Order: sequence, then C-alpha cells, then structure tokens
Amino acid sequence: MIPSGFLYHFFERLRTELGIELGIGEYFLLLEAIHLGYDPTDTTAMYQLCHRLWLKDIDQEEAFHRLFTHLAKAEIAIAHITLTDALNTRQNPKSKTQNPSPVTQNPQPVTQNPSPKTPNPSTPKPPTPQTTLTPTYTSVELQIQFNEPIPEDLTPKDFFQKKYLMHTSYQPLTLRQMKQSWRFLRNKVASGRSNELDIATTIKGTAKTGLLEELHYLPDYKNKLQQFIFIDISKSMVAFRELGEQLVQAATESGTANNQVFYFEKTLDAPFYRNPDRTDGIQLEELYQLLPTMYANLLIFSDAGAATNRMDAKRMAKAWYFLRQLKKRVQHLVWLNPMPAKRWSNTAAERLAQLVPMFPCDRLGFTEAIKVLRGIHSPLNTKNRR
Amino acid sequence: MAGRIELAQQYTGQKLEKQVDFKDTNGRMQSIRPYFPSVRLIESVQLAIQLKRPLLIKGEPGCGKTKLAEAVAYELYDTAYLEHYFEWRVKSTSKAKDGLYTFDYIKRLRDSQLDAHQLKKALLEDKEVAKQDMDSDNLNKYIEFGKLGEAYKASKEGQPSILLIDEIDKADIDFPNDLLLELDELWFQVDETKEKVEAKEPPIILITSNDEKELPPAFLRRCLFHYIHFPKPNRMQAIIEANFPKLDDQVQETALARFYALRKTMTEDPNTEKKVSTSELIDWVRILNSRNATDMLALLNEEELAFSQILLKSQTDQALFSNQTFA
Repeated sequence: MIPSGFLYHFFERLRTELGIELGIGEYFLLLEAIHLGYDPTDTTAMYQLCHRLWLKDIDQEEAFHRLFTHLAKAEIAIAHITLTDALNTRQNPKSKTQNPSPVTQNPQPVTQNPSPKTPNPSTPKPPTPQTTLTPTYTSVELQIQFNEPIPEDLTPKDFFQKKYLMHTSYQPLTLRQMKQSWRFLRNKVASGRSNELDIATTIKGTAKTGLLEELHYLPDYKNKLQQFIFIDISKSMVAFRELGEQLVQAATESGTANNQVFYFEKTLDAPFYRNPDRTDGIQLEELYQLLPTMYANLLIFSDAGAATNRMDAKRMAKAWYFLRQLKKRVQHLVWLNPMPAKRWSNTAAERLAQLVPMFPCDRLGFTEAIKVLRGIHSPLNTKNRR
Repeated sequence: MAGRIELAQQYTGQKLEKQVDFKDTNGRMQSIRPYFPSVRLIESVQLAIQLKRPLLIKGEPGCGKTKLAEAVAYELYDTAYLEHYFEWRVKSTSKAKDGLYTFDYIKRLRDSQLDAHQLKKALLEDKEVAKQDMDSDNLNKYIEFGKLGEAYKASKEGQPSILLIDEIDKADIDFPNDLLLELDELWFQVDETKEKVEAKEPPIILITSNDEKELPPAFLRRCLFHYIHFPKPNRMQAIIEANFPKLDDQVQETALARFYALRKTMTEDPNTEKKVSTSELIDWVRILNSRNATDMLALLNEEELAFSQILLKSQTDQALFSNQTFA
C-alpha cells in the first residue's frame, strides 16, 4: 500500500504539476530521513527536507514554495502517513542495519523501555506527543499537523524584492523539460584522433614486426550537429515571445554545441535577423550559404497563421516554396507551433503541416519534434499529414 | 553502526572560524581559510551524510562551493584530513573511467617486449634468469587509481573519505551518467586484473556545478541538492573578520557598505555580466588591508570605486559600475 497523506500528495503534485522527475525512491528517501529522526510534525523541517531531497533546480524554487504553502494551508489539516509498508519494502535492506534507528540513540536500553519511546534526544526539535512510535517499528504511524502558520523564513530569498514575478510552471512545457530533451540532439562523428589507445591494432602491429613501432589511437568522436533555429517574431507571436526565448535558452544551456538562432517576421522568405531587435539582418542568399546539407538540423518556431486564424494564400505559397528549398539544405526539419493542433484547421499551419512535420509546443509535441530532429520516425507526424 | 551518526553530528560548520596553519605528514606547511556555512548548508551536509547520497551544490561563482568539501573534511578529521580528502577536478576532456583508474598499456607492452628480449638472451647464454625481474605479469604496477578509486579505497569503516567532484558540468554530457553505477553500488572492478575496489564505508561525496550544462535526470535523482545563496551582511561581516582579524573597523564597515551597494546595483542592472561575490570581496579587502587605514577610508569614499579591477571582471562591468556614486 502506498502511504497517503500530505507529503505524498505534495510529492505527486510536484511530479505532475511542476514536472519534477521524481521516482518512488525519492519518496522512500524522505521516509528514511523521517525514520532517522527528522520531525514530520515540524512544518519548517519538512519543507526544508523536501526542498533538499526533491528540488533539483533553483529556478523551480518559487513554484515549489507556492505549491507547498498552498497545500499546507488549504488542503490538509491533519494527514496520516503510514510508514509500515515503506519500511518493509525499503530498497536497500542493508541500510536498515547501518542506519541507527532513534531507538539505538536512546540512552536507555531498548529492552528496559517497553513503553513508546521518548523523542530522540539528538534531534534539534523533538517530535510532539502527537507522534506515536511503537517500540518494534514495524508499524509506525505519524501524524502531521499544520495548525501553525507557515513560517516566513520559508520564503525564498529575494522573493519580495523582485519587481515582478515571472515563472514557467503553468506552461505546457517547462524550461527544464526543454533542456532535457535538447540533450538528445547529437550527431557524433569520428574526427581526428583521441588519446585513447587502440590496443588491438597496436598489438597486431607489434606482433607483425616483432617490435613496438607505432602506437595506434582510436578516433575521437565529436558532435558535428549544427542546429538552426528560426523564430517568428511577428505580431501574432507576441504572446509566445518568452517561450521562444526559453527555447533558445534551453538549446544554449543544454550543453549540445553549435546552435544558430535567426529571427524572421511575417513570411519565411523575408529578411532574417540575428537578434530579436531586428538590427542585425542577414540576406537569404547568405543564410543559404550557412546551411550545409550534412549535420544540419532546422527547427522553426512559428504559429503559421494559426494564432490569427487566417489563411493568406500568397504568403502560404511563398512559405511553401521556401520550405521546399530548405528541405534540400538540411538533414532534418521540424516545425513547432505554439498554438494547439485543433486551431490549425483552415490556416496556413494545416497546409504546411503536410509538407513538414509540425508539432504543438507541449511536452509531447516537443519530445516528438526532437525525435524527428534525431532522425527517428514519429507516429504523431504521420497522423498530422493524413 | 553508531559511528555513522556520530560523524554526521560532527559537522557543525563551526570548526573553521579562523585560518588554520599546520604541517602535513610530509612536513609541508598547509593552511585552510575560514569557512562560514549557513545553517541550511550545514543541515544539507548532515542529511547527505545520513542518507549516504551525494550532495550537489550550485551557486554563483565565488560563493564557496569548492571550499565546502575541504571544510567538511577538516571538521571530521582535523589536520589529518588530507589522508581522507580527495579532489577530482573535472575537465572538459575528463572521462568517467579516469576517476576510477587508468591502465598504462604502453608501459605494459614495452615491458613485455623487454622481458621477451631478456628471456631470449638468457636462453642463449644458458643462464638462470632472475624471474623476479620479468614481472610484467604483475599487472598492479600498471594501474593508477583516479580520485574516485582512491576515495573508495581509503574509505574505512567509521572513517568515510570525503570526495569532491568539482565542476561536473565541464565534462561531456554523458559523464554524469557514466558514473551512476559506481556512485550507486560503491564499488567497481578493474577489468584488467579483475580486482574489486570497494568502499567499506560510503564516502561523503560533494559535487559542484556551475550550471554550464544541464545534468541528466537520472543523475539528479540520486543527488541531494543545495543552492548556496549569497551571504547576508552579518554573515559576510563574520567572514571578513575571520579572514582579516586586524582590519580597521571603519574600513571594514565602509568597504562592506560599498560592496553591498555595488552588488545591489549590479543585481538590478540587466546588463551585468558577473555579479561580485564573496571571493572577490576577500581579494578586495586583502588589498585594502595592506594599506594605511586613513588612506583607505579616503579612497573608499571617493566616487570612483577603488581597485575596481579586483571586483569587476569584465569590460562591460567596468564601464557600467566603476564610477557608480556611493550611496
């Protein structure tokens, strides 16, 4: 049985709402910490503990804090956690013997103290009498009370000093998810030689001549992928400006090299710019020269008329022609549309989706888009084309 | 084991309040600078020790991520800490296996050739060959353990070693994933000799990252995470006092006020390239401390920031902030 209660509820919401990738192992880790003497009745201590165990990115701290406070205040007054199953199905049975339970830390010997144990003297905040710990520790039930207000020092640093709050937690695709997906975009090609010795070839060579004449090295594999990103900065895309910037940020920070970003307005064959402020332009011919046929991927981020629900035949024809040209010059091409797929009908997006793989900008769509860029067939893509 | 929890309670973060100078086992002078962890950081370290998980530390450059490991090691083992403390400084070319061990194949190949040559000579001269010289089959001499390997070997029961994996984000993006098994299982095998290297006690592993690259989720799941925030003025004052006990009070006060004013301006300005941090402040105060207090006060109160080249590390920052008026 999975233990229920506030902490588990919070854990689930972290996974589903904030998209933090947590497994059941992380939940057991929390239970292990509670078992080691962390006080589950102390809101501050529990917040800090969850923060340390489950939060992996400081950018998500605000959302993490908001969720915790919200849940603690509104939903749960009293919650029960049954540790029984958790303790029995602990992943590492060895740790049970290695970790001293609070009982062993108790100055009084266990056998002489059959009544429920007094709180662990080493914990900074001893559990309140609401915590009932049975001597055997096979069935432990803990109660959590949130009668006290959430202490102010839980608030992340600089929380109130910011002039405005900007967060991404409610978008269908978080920056973190984007970064993680970008990591897959690599095309490693053998080039040059590395420091790694090719033992088999070296020994073969030595055996032939009877002398160690030459050392053979294995080739070095380098990521040759060049990722081009075209971002639409037309008026219809104003609402998605931040998302576009995050896309670029994710590409840059993911660690896969060689990203080149260009911005365009209105039509795809209009001049391109190297910056969103449109001060550094680049002609189409110049851009074509930049696009090599091998190892180049292209991602286009635009609504393709879906945001304004319009179909401009002339523009569409231009875009169609341009995309056909681009397809010859890059290895893989994909289109991310910030509008949901149901809004594409009767717009340029619907037609263009027949020519290039187009995906909505949610988690699934983004993953599929990355798949296409990796050269993997996407079943969703075929569906769109039909 | 009771030793475990005792150790966990030993890290209080209060042992390094002054600079410590000592002689190591080789008789060389060593010194450790004072370190002032926040209460939350201390708790994070304790939790990591108790749960036997690596602690991933992030924070602005110069906030003391790297120094933490040494401070923890010193607190647990006092001046004998160097035997238990291992630093693995990751580079862009680092491979996960380098941290475990390297095998010198070239030396082995050369030795086997030499041995064959000697054997031939001995057979021709019909001599008893000193067998012990031809020990190219003793493979252990070709193995050199990396920092992770050394830390595992040194970790004894009740005496965990402390391993710092510094700037893990510098290496290839596969690097953290290649370490998962070794970090999880706490042992690895030397393929060439089939030797099993095992940590008798889980080492205390501290990992720092500058967020240059995104770390893989599988790796993050195994770590506890702590972000070191910039110290509040009172803790910063303690840091400065510990580093420079003889510093003039007024100089210290003015310098700190000026430093925090600069940092505030830099935080608010979106064009800032690198915000000033603790390590820059310490360097700056070191220069201030080396001069006459009266002169320094006069310099500090000038409109132009004195010794701005120590604090502002880029041309843009120099142009933007070196002339800011002191409020």
